[in-house]
Amino acid sequence: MKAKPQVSPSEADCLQRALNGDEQAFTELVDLYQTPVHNLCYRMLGNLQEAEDAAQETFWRAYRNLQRYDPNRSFPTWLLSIAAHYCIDQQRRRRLPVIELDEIFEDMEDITADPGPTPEKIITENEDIQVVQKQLAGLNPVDKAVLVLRYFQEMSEDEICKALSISKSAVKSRLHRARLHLANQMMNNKFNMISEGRYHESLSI
Amino acid sequence: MNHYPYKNWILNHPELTKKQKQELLDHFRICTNCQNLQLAWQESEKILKSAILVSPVAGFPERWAASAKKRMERENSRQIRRTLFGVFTLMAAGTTLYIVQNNLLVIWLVTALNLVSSLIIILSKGITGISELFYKEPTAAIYLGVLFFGAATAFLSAFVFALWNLLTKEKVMHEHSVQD
Repeated sequence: MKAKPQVSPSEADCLQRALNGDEQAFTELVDLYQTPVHNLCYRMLGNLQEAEDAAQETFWRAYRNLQRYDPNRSFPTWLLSIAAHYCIDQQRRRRLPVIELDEIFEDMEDITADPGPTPEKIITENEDIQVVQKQLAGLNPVDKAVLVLRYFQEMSEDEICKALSISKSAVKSRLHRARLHLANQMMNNKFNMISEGRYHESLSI
Repeated sequence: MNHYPYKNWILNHPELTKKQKQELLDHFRICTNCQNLQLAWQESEKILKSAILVSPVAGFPERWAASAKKRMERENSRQIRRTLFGVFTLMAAGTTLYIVQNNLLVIWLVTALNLVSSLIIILSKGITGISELFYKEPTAAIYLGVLFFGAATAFLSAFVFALWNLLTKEKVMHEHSVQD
């Protein structure tokens, strides 16, 4: 399932009230857009705690700069643009993104404290998260942002241009590079799996 | 052989024409690398497209509202500290400017040196000589006392306030990191 936030009339009303200085209305906006923003941060940073902090920071920055928001622009795109820029900065600061798989499982344990999902579903979701995060790890922060916005937020190339303040050709070339990286990584994984299989076979012989 | 057009088709153009598709298939027959790339990208794309949406832990808006309130309070107190610091700095700068512009510093220094030397001489003559000094130059003594100590107090206040500002800031940051 993907998130493509569209502004409904009630959301527009909420936004208008927030623009007029209604704090409660802004909290409602936080409630509305928490999942896409958090998802973007998580896919960019690969850690739930950091994603929570980044999402909090994103909403805080949006709140502080609400008067600079151009109502002719899409609010979710503006919000996601703040989140993407913040996550890119965070990634650049730490330089080498390390995804601890154990951490993902631990984080997921916290999330799944909610009695809703079944153990099978948790395992499947964990595996899914693990595979996706493994795929994204090692990508350049901006390439990763472009890819995440394209596939997880389903933004068009034009929307990505606006969100990241880069040209359309830059979006295209970054998407190409990110896709090539993922495909190469997938090929390497397959190759490693085959090599390991052969190694185990030779051991058993 | 130039593989770039094929790689470009594989990675960036899911919708190919019939002719392009045929050309790509023909290329696959002679290039296993591009064929593997096609398979790998298809698999990666499938994973990306089927990825679940990771929501925050329940209660995110409430946590945000609480954190925003704390941040607002911190910003307000920071603003007050900044204003006070600005006022103290302005006072110190004003005093300095006044002293420099009116050449008072030289006059004060000369007067002070005079006084010190006089004091040393007088003190050497005995404590009773002080009354004589004030009798001779009463305005200089008052001048020196008020302005020198006034400036000293302003500078000292600015210094103490800057120190307090730094310490408070560190304390707030420490508290914030502990809370985080």
